[in-house]
Amino acid sequence: MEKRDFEQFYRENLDRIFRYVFFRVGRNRSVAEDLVSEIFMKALQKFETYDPTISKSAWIYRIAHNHLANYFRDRKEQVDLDDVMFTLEGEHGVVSMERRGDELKVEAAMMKLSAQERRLVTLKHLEGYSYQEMSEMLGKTPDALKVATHRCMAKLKTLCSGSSDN
Amino acid sequence: MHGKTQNIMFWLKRQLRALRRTANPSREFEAALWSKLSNEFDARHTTSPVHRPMWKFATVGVCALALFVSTGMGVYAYESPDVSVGHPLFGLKRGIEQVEGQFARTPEDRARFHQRMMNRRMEEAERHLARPARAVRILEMAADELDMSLQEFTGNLRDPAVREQMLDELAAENERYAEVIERVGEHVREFRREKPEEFRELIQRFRVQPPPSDEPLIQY
Repeated sequence: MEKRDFEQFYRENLDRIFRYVFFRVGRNRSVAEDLVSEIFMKALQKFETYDPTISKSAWIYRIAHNHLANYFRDRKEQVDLDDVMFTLEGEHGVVSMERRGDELKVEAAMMKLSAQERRLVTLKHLEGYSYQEMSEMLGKTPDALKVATHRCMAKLKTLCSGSSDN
Repeated sequence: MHGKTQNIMFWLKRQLRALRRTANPSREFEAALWSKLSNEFDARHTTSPVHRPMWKFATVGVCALALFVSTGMGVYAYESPDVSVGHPLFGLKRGIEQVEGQFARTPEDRARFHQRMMNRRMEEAERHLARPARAVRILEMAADELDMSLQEFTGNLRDPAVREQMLDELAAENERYAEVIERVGEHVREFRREKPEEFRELIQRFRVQPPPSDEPLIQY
């Protein structure tokens, strides 16, 4: 394994994995940084056993998912890792309440989507995966995911316009 | 209406992009984590020479060569009568023979094993006729093997057919044994003069009588 290969892998995936973790630990940046460090350290240790039949982004996504599952299990918390957490109690919840109104409006509309719909919007528009990468993670064709995500966005738009009318 | 819908979609995507930006890692964190990963990578892959492909290849080559040489030495030590008492490889040879002896499970196998070892010692003794002290020591070992073979034969071997066959074989071996002792005898004369006590003990072990001075030194 060449170092530059791993560096390229790191640069390509850091932002998306960070966002994936960040939105699941209630936007707690320091916790997200610790977890992301551990995830990439684990990826480095396993990089030589990486199975090239799956994409690298799907592979690191799976490592992150398992690592987060262990994190919440150790904390004895029941969390749906396929979903995002926009709100938090305590210190970080206070911070979230100070965000701009538009942002809160979008978050509120997203919470009205089903978990599956929210997941598609999150993967595509928050975490930044391509439809091809999403297909490798979710086991569906890119075209089907594209159609489904567009429907979710249309629904989200309706929810946002409804709330803005109110 | 259409324009308003488009505007809402545009506004929505802009809000999602803004939300996404809030979730980006800081550049400081990105640099610090890469530094940590880079060090870990170096520790795991670069700094240890044994992880370099060239070193792996060399290690495999050296191990293969060592295996080849040690196997060759073992075969040579085991097969060659030149390797006997006093030879650096004699310990290896005895070790291999002892392992071979562990596979002899039945009394017949053990008797044949000791008989075979006796033959090997006699071949070695023949090679060292010019060095009587060494030849005598080897013949002592041959006598031990003969003793052990006879113990198995007289004590444990019950099958009459096998006993008869082995008796024939031992008779043939005895003839050869006598011949070897006779040849060694010429060289042992000097040894008898120098170490009469050890010589007498040796004679007792082979159950031979000292000959008159005008006859061959050792008779079987």
